[in-house]
Amino acid sequence: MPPVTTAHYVMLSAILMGVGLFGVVTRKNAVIVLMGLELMLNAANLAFVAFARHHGNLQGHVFTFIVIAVAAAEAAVALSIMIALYRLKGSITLDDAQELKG
Amino acid sequence: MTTTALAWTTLLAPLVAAALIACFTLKHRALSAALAVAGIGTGLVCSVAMAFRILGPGDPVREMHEFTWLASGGVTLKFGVLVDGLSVLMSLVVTGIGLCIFVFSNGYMKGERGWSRYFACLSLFAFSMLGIVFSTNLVETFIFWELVGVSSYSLIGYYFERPSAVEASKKAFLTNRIGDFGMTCGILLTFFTLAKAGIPGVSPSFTFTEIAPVFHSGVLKPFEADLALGAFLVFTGAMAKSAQVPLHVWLPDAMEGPTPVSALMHAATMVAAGVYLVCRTYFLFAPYEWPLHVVAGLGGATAFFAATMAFTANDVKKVLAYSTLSQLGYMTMALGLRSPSAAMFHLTTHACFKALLFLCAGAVIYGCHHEQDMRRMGGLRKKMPVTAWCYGIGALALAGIAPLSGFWSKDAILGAASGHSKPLYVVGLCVAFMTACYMGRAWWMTFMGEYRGGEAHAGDAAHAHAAPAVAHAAPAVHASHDPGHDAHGHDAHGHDAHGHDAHGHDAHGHDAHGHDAHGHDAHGHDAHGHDDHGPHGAHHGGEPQEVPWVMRGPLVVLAALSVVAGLLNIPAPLAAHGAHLEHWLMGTAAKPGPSWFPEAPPEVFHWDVAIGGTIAALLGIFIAWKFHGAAKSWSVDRFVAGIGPVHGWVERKWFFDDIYLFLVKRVQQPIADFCGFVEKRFLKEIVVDGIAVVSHWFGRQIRLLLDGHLHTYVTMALIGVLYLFVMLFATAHAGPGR
Repeated sequence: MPPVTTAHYVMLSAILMGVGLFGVVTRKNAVIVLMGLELMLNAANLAFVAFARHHGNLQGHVFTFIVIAVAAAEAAVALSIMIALYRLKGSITLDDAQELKG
Repeated sequence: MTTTALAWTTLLAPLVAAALIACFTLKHRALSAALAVAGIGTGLVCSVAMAFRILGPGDPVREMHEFTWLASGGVTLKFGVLVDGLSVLMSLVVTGIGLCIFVFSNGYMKGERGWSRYFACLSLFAFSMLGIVFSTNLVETFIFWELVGVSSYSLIGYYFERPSAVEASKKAFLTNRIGDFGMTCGILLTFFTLAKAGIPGVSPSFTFTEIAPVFHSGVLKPFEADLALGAFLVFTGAMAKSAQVPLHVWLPDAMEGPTPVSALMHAATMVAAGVYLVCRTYFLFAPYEWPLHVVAGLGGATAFFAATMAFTANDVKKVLAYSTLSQLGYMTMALGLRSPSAAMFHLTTHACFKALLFLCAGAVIYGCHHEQDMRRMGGLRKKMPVTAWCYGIGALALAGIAPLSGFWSKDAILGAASGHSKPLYVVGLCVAFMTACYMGRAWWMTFMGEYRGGEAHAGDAAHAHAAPAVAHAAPAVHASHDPGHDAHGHDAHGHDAHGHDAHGHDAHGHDAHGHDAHGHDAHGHDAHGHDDHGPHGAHHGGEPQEVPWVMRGPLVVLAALSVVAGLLNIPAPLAAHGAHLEHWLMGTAAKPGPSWFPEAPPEVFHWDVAIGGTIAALLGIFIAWKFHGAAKSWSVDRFVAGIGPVHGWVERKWFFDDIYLFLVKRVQQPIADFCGFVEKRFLKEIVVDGIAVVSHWFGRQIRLLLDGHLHTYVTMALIGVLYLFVMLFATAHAGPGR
């Protein structure tokens, strides 16, 4: 079995990013969109860590921890917005929330 | 106290009085008046003390105290007091004449509303003028110059309920702004020319004592064109304040103020400022020719035109106003003829007798129940003897009859004219003749003959067609007093007693002038609060009465001054040591700095000039007597018919007001309309509105991109990111240096 190189990690990261982006762009359900967002964030985390390992320093880890912390807050805020949206509209389909269109 | 401390006291006392009145004693009439009189009185005492120190037996000295007010970028503005013969003389005039007028006001303004405001403004006026007098530099002068403008505005517009007074104060202020603009330009041009000149050892400065020697020394020859223009521009300031043609138009209208204010303005403060300024900055003018020629020419023109206009005035104050104009023309002429000491001498004597004449006019107006039209006076000599005597002395002094003060000063000016310029000498003689003549006319119309106030004015209708514009100044006075004094219970006295006013106005057709607004035709004197004039209520018959002592006292003092003021400067062959005033003003070679005025031969007495002037004056009086004396041997109407259209020109005030009206309506207004058109059609509708319309249109289009679908936004963001990537790759591969 060939050794796992940085390129593998980066490719996995790219795949995760693609999957997450696909979810965000195509899905109408807000929760699924949020999940896609989380996938994209973690793809970035993976890339950070991979490059940190590649360069042998800790800067990537630092970013990763920050991203994890922010992602937690973001998830909390996003979920509460969804609850508010559900109370308002009775659904969390994104197409229902378009009051701000131009 | 040092001399400069005395000067500071003189300067600040009226300001302190004004501030105290404004802050604390607005409700206390007696206290306000006392403060104002005390302020100016302190100034007078200090001025006299300064005079004894400065004008001692030896050579006059010059003392100065100056501190830095603000310094910025190489320009230092200073503030201080300059005490020398010139400023002390002027300060004596301002405080001395001012004190008389302040005291007189106590009687004249009795019962007026805004009494405390009046005295506060008066004190402020005196302060502003003293600021000009003691100023050490051009910037300080300019500041006080503006203050004089402001305080005169507030006093001319004292009766602010009356539209004509408001108009007059605006006119005075705006006309003065034209001059002030010129003066600003002149000060800056002079300063920056000095800076540009960069003469070693000479730093650019505004301070008189620092720049005067530079001008005297002649090192500024290469910059003559700029500096001469600067001198002329400084003179435009003086032209407005001292009411020289063509900026004189505000002065006759300024009669809308209370009479003591007119006295103050015409004698000591406002109009004297211009002449004083030119004397103070004479070093700017002395080295050059054309500015002084312009000064002399304008002075002569003013003297002549104003004297002619005095003949058509029927308002007892307007005659004096034109006479002031004319005498200011004399002074300015003397300045232009390189005889500043003669100008200052005439300024001093003129201040005495013109203040006297104005206060007499005030007494007459007061005694005749605010009647100002001389055609409804006459015979007052018997009813107001003190006033009549004082007026007579003042008129003779103004006419230049020896040995009253006016003779000596007028003689000094005529002497200067005869030496320098024959045409101006002839103009001067003509003006002397006309001065005597119109003062004689005013004297006979006001004080001699029979009292015409009580009559129904059948005869006036004839005059009325001739001077409709002049005559309506009189009724406007009545509008000045507030309504609602019925509570004083004077109605019971029956104001029909004052009915002559109402008759007169109807006869003059004043309704057409829109005086209905003041309720004039309604005979409504109680509505005008006329009764508020305490003593007026007491005499019912409308008969003129002599004024109280608080008003007579200043008249007598000023009359005495008008007689003796000439002693200041009696020239050489007649007085042992020659002209004292001239000696003081010239300032000899005492430290610091050289003499203020350029060296000139000392003034001597010319018998031919004196006899010429006296003959002109006597002839004027004789002709006035022929026309207006008891016999009325010559008819004014026939004379008017004889001179044909000239009478109309004079009556239209030589068209100056019409020219201004034309300039404003036909020249300025189209320019303003054009600018307005450009601004409205081009700047607003095309440039400003155009930008808004285009932005709005784009906004509407771009708005459609935001359709409310989250996915659209994400897609757009994605496209943006992809674009960035593409650009990144493109530049990374294309740019060889990266």
